[in-house]
Amino acid sequence: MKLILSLGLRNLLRNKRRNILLGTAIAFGMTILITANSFSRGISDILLNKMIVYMTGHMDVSLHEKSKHQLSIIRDKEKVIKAVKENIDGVKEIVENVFTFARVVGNKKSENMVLVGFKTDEKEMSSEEFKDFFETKLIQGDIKDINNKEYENPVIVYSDKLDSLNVKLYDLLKVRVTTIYGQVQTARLTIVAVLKSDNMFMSNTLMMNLDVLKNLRGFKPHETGSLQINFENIKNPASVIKKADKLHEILKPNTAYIWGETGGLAKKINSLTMGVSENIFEEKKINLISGRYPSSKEEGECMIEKTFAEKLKIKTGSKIKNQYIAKFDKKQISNDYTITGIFTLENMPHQNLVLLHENDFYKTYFRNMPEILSENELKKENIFIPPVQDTALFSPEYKLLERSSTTENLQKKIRAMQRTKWIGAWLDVRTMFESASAVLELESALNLITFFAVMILFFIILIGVINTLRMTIRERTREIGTIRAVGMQKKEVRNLFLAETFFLSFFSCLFGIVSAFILMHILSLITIETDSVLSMLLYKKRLYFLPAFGSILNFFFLIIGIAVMTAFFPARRAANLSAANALRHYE
Amino acid sequence: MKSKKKKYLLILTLLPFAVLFSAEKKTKVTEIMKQMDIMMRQDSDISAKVVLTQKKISQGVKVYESFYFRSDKTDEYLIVSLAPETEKGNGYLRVGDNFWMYRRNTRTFQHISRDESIMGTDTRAGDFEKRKLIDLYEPMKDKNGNEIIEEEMLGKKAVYKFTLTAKVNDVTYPKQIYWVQRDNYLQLKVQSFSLSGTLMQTAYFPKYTQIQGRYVMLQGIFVDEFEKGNKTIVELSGISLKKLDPKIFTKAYLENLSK
Repeated sequence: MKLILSLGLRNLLRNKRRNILLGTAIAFGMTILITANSFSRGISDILLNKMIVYMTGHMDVSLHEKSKHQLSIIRDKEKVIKAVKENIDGVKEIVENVFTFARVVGNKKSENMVLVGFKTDEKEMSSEEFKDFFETKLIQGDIKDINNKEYENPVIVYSDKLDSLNVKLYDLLKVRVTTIYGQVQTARLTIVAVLKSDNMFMSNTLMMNLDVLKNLRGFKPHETGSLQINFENIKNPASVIKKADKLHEILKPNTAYIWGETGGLAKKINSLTMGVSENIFEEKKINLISGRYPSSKEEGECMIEKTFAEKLKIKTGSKIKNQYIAKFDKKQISNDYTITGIFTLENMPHQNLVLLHENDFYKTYFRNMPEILSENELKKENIFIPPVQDTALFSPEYKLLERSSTTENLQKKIRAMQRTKWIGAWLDVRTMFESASAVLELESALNLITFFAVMILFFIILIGVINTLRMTIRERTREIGTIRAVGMQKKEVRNLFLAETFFLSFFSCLFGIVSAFILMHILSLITIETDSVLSMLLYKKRLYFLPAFGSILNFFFLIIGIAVMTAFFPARRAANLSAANALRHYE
Repeated sequence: MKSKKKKYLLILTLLPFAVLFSAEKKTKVTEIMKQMDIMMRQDSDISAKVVLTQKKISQGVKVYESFYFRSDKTDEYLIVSLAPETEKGNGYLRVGDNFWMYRRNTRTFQHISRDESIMGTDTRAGDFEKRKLIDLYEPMKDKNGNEIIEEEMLGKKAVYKFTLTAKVNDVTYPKQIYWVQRDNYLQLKVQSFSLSGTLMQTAYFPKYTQIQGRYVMLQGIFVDEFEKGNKTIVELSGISLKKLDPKIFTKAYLENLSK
């Protein structure tokens, strides 16, 4: 074997010109393959880990109240954040997604723009990503002024908008937005920094402090629009789907309740208030003793359990005051209700039970969320909160929207949600596969195009290899006859040719890898100034390559393997030549 | 001493009237609001041609024409666009809580939310919701809890002027100032403010007509105070209060009408 390898190496040097040409072709193929693959991986990285992160996040959790009107608001953001942190691994960051469309008026010019909120605390502003994003694009002003209280609502704008709004640094902008509830809100914003626009999509945004924007839109500190969850560098996008499925399972709702006190004419007594849907009334699952069920059309109606009514010395038509402490601002919330009916019920969650039509229940429940009792407190107060089931009597904290796999499915389920009259909240867990499928499709398309282009190129090179080997064998037929005549076996002749091909492709591939890195370095030094859609594919206005050791190793062995396999048949043909015929060969 | 007694007597005599007077003032705005709700209520069906002229500094003047059918009893509404050419044949149908947009080109109906624009104008789907003023707003009160109301002249017309603040949070304007004609409770001018108190819009309603004993607005002028120079004029013509066929408020009818 040692002899074969040494002969193989020596033979390589015999036909220097031809082997250099063939080796260059293989090295060129390898260079293109690695460069194209790294470019494709770079685009994927830009799309998955840079663009989608800003657009939709890898995963998104949202709650939508009032089905048809789709009021998107998470009332208790910490609860969701806790569930994510405790149960999902690989989470890089959980971002509050708060943005709004706005009419922006500059100096006698106006535009429709998007206001985007971002965290501006010290930790965030000192992060590498923050610096990467802002400091490299800064043209005028100071990013740190975003927290400067001397300026009225500081904002960062892209340079294109200075012209279209006819404004300059430190000028005031007027904006009109709608709050989450639909009210018109206005504010004055001060331009404290101007960024160079990367692409036309970004330039339409105005960036401001998250808390200022939340306040402008009517969010309380414990509320947010939706939560975007981003993971550490995503290599396999599909892994997000499994994580989303897991989170969907974890976020199953509990039955909603309000623990407080209810006062009639005589006294105040601790009580449990729950919501009941119209269906429960229609199906008469609650035993009504007197009066009627609360109406969906009238506000401020309730029904009360018989023994509780006796304790309070009240009857149908009486008025009660229902009070509880709000979870977040600890304020006492007081609601007045008129009793429309007295009922009895088997398996009572608590002996002092007040039932509201869920439309009324959710109004107070959402606006002033009640404190959730611990297991011990529930036991102490002798409360049993039944789990949420299809047959459950009481209204849940929210309903879960089914997981959807595509944008089309997502749209279908949203349409179905809008058709319902449910006034409560729907929780949705979605991934970039549903919310940013267009970007992912673009990524797949680019990968596919790159793959086919490289394969075509490589196919051409392989034809070259085969052709060269055939020519080599033809030219060296008499030599084959000679070495066969002096005793070399068929197998050894075949292995000799295979060894030659192996060494040729081995050194060519090594050379190709080195060339690829040099080429990528040179290409990534070129700055490309464009505002077109293609700018999406650039990172810091440069081509972005992301080589992977694993892929390079795969290509290395793949090319050597293909070259050796391609050489196998001509080599076998050479080995099978009879010594006498080979010696007689003449061209 | 005598004069002091007389003074007290006078005060005691006048006190009930003063209380009555303040009580009357206290309920006045609420009463006007109720009257306005009655005025706005459309007991019979209505159909009319609507011309909306939108003047924007950046876009010039655009004229939108449409025909609308409305039945408040059943809470149904249908609008079909006649002009401009790009909007012709498109329509909007509202049945109860459902509001659809119809696109003639694609022949499709799409559910729309209350925030979506109608025919590309500043009108929102939510503006068509049938909600009473009294359920949405409450009168602004002074330190003593009395409703604030002024009587003044708007041009040649004697009006009540009062301020309303939203009592629910899902109305477009959290604060509005009304000028309402004293003799018939018709709103003549409305100023609308944003949550932060910026004047956003001044609306004028100079023309009304009486059909079958009911007042119907003929013209509304909406001046954009936020983006100065923008203005929208809404004009109604061909108004009919005849009962409308229930078939009108169906998707099939809108599709046929758009052909």
